[in-house]
Amino acid sequence: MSGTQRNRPANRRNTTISRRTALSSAAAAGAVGLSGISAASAMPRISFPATRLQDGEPKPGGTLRYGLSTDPSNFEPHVSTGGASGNLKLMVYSTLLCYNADNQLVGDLAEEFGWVDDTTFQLKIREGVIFHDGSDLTVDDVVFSLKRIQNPETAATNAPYFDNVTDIVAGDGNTVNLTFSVPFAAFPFILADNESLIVSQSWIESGVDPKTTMMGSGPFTFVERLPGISITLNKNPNYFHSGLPYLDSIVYQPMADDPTRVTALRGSSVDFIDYVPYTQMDIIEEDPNLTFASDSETGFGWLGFVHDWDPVSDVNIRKAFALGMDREKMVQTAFAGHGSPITGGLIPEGMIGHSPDLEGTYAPDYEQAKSLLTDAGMNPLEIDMLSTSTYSVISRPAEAAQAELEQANINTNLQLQEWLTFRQSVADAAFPVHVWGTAISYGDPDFLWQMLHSKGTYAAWFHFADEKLDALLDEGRVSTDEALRNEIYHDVEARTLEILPWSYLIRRTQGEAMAAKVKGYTHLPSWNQITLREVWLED
Amino acid sequence: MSVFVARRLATLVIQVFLVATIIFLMMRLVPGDPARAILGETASDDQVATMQDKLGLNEPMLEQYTSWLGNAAQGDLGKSIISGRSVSGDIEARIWRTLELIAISIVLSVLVAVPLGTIAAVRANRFADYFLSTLAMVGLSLPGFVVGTLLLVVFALHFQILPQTVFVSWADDPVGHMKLLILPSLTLTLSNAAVILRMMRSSMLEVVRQDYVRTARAKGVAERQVIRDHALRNAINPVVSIIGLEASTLLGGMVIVEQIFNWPGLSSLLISGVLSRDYPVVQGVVLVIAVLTILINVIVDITYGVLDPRIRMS
Amino acid sequence: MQSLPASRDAGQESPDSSSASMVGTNPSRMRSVGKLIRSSPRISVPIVFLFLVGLISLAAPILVPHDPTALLAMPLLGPNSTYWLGTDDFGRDELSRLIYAGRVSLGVSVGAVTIAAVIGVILGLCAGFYRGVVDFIIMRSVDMMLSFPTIVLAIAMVAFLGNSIRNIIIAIALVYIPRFVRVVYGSTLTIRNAEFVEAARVVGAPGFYIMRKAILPNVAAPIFVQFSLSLGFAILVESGLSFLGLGAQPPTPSWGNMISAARPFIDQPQLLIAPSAMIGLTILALNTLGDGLRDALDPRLHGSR
Repeated sequence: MSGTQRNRPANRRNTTISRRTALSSAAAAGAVGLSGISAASAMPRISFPATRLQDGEPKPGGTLRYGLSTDPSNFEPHVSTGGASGNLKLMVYSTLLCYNADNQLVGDLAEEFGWVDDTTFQLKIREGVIFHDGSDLTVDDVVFSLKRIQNPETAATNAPYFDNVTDIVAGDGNTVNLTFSVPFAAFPFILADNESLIVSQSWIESGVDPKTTMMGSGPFTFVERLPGISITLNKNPNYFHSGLPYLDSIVYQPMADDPTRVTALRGSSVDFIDYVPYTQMDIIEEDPNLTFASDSETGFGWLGFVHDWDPVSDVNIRKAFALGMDREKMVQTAFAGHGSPITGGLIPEGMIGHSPDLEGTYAPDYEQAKSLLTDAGMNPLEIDMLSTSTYSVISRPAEAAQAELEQANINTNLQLQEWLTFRQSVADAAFPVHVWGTAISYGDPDFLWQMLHSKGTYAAWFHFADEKLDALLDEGRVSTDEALRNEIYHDVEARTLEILPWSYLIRRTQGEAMAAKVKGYTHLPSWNQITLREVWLED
Repeated sequence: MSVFVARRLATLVIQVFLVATIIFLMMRLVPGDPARAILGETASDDQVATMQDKLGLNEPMLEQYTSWLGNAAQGDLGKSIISGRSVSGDIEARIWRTLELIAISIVLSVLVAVPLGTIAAVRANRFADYFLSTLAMVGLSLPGFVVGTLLLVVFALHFQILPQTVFVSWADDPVGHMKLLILPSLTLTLSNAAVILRMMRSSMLEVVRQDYVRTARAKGVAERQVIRDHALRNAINPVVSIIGLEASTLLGGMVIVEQIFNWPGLSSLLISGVLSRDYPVVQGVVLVIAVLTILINVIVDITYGVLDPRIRMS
Repeated sequence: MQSLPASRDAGQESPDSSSASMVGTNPSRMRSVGKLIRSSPRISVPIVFLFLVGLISLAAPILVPHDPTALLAMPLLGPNSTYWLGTDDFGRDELSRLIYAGRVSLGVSVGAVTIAAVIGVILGLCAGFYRGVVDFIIMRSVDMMLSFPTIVLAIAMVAFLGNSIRNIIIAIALVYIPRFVRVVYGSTLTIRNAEFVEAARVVGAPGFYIMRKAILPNVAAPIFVQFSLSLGFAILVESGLSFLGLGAQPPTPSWGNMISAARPFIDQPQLLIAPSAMIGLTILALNTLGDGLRDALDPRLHGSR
């Protein structure tokens, strides 16, 4: 019986992937094979380790009952409605690239892939892949899907990453070529994303509503949905990875209430749950019949400012905020220790740009914070702060932050709005300060572009722009030299801490829990659960 | 008589129409829009605008209103903005689960409360009465979510007797379904029964003082028969109207119970619709709830009118 | 969900005209109030309880042993000498929060029901006195509002207006206005035909004067009963909304959100039991009071006691 596997610091050291290992295993997995490409510089280095559970011999058969944290709003393949539904779609559709159990980027629908030159990305599409309706998956479907993402009418989540793609064409030998106007080293990660699914052109064009039904080339086929009750997927007998999946079917059962979901797992009404609430993490770890697979690197919270709103337009006031919080204590109060403070840079260990020297920049210093306030003539400071009541992983740090800031004479009037109103308020910049959280979306520091660049989404909310950051981020995106990128992103982190577009708060542990009989699952950071296709049930 | 019924039905139509209009307006006045709900955190303003167009949210208000109303009259409540599914379809699937819970609670409450209320009345001012009346008062004073939470914590979490599990339908697993019904219907029954018990008691007390009961007693009819044949039949009238009112209160008020017990009924559909600004869903559900409530009231009124001719004249 | 006063009042709406005996000058009314309170334990006991709770709530800022929103200690400590009810999941003193929550719940309920009563009574008097078009508009609107289940209406309103104490008060007030209107309307209809009212009208007294001097005192009794009952249900609605996260915002405690927060932590049962008990006892007191008042003021049932 396998014990619990957790991402303790000790393990982390063991599984940190060195640059050499990463690239060699990427090569071994057949990542690159196209002529004329220098693998060493082309492939972005993978960051976080994965948590793999020890197994045995896979056994086919069985149904996995999955207690899902949200009832998916819809099945639209290119528009995100949350991590939970994203993972579900990933079981029915396929992506061009994906992560393997070592958290390496490998080809899925793409047999081979790589940069032909700095601005041309080429993929060789696997032959013999069949959609669930029996039709063949061709390069035309790939081109159609990528163009659908680009199409503004789709309002696709990943559309912004395709802004610099000038051309998508099918080429000889079952290839697809993407031409960029500027280099974009981290682009391959986007192709492994939950919302970069490959759909059948003829199916979409036949007029079906992809929001209410799914038809892809993935390990499972969509059988039926009973809204609010269950979504059933069956094994795809013609899956292009022969032998997979082992399971006969997966039945997703939405259970939004945290205690209910955990009780269902502990009472064996379900075999697998996602988003384990922190209150139950210890209980699950101590239970010999359950396994907890998690990471503590990717989920994080931040405190955001609207930069043209006095007094937070003054960088010293923002510094007072950053100094006025004991993040260690916040980890305790918000997550009972299941997390870690972010007193320096955001980029975690293992990723390009990780900057341990910046650690402790914002160790708590209430006195310093208060004196900054006094200098600005605002001691004490009264200010409105916004967060959301809908997700406790966001509201708890917000409440913890509020209590902390009081110690620094910053008295926040915390308003918790429900999710939609909250997002609207943030978009409308209705509050000078807000507390939010998300997860690092992919294993390259380029993820910061969307958050810090003046043309990114977050800058629009923060009314923020910094030329230096823009320049650094643009350079980092197009650069292909790893050592250079390390430096660039270190500077990005340093600059962020210096001018404080936002202030990082704490990381949280997030993960899945399952019955001991569920084998073969690997927890990947962020929201990707592609490894579900390798799961089997042991009796 | 038919004039009475016709008048009530006409009022029903007007009320439903007004309710629908108010809901339509209220939804539009709220901040937050469904386009954002669908698109996720990192959606840019452009993408949101595109989605809004796609969802028809930028049509003139009047047009949206009239087309919704027109369709609704024909039974088409539109499609959910978020999920793309038919609203009527979702309502249809869920309404039976809500009604089922309500029906069972009412049946159980009546079975428990009518006899107990009668006993309390018959033994007025003696120990049994004080005991039952106090019990009823306590049942009435504990909010549904308190009772539900306590039951859940005690039975599901602590003793693990009735664990909160995934929902199974009647058709798939009758026994499992019944087990799931127990805690939520118990929660609802507790407060329901309290109301009915008290009503029954006071109604009974009222009736027992009446002349015809005293006459029956004077004639030497056995007490039990007096109660059964004379008193009960008349005492039940106000209780009927209470039951009707309780049913309509329960319809929407099931919100908290459905939340606590993860019961996939109408209330949870309403809540998620409100939270995601899914206009068609909220409009549809509220309309259905209002129609049902009004309908129940009308039926109760008519029944009451049938039973008591004096009311018809007022 | 709880039943509503209107349902329990069905069949008992019109007050007996002998409550006209309540009309009188001030001193005698004061005496009868005192007599009223002492007349039955169902009135005196709840009043004492509510008085105490009210007093503690008012004095909360000076009374609480600790700051209810400060993170003082480790989370989830059991009851000990410093923190009599232990700490909550953020490390705040549970007892202080309990006391403060009472302040919030009672404050919201009293505020909301008072507003509802004032507006409802005025509307009910007008409808009952003037009849005609005024009656039709007001009473049809009342019917329509009553066809909405309370919680749905309150949730919709708070979702529309936003979570704040002020909006909760508005939402609850709006929901309870119709009930006051109904009660007063029924009573007004009965009284308006009484001789002394006819007399006043004949003499040419203005409508408002008649309503205030003649009718209002006579419908006072059902208003008090309704007030007490509505208070109980208002607390219920407020705590229900807080339970759902639509009520008082963190870190402000409310009995409802304290119960909701306590759910995962069953090894600290006092976190769940204390606020539940407070809600239960307070609503019980209000309901008992309402009952006692109705029985005392409505002579019809006197024979059955």
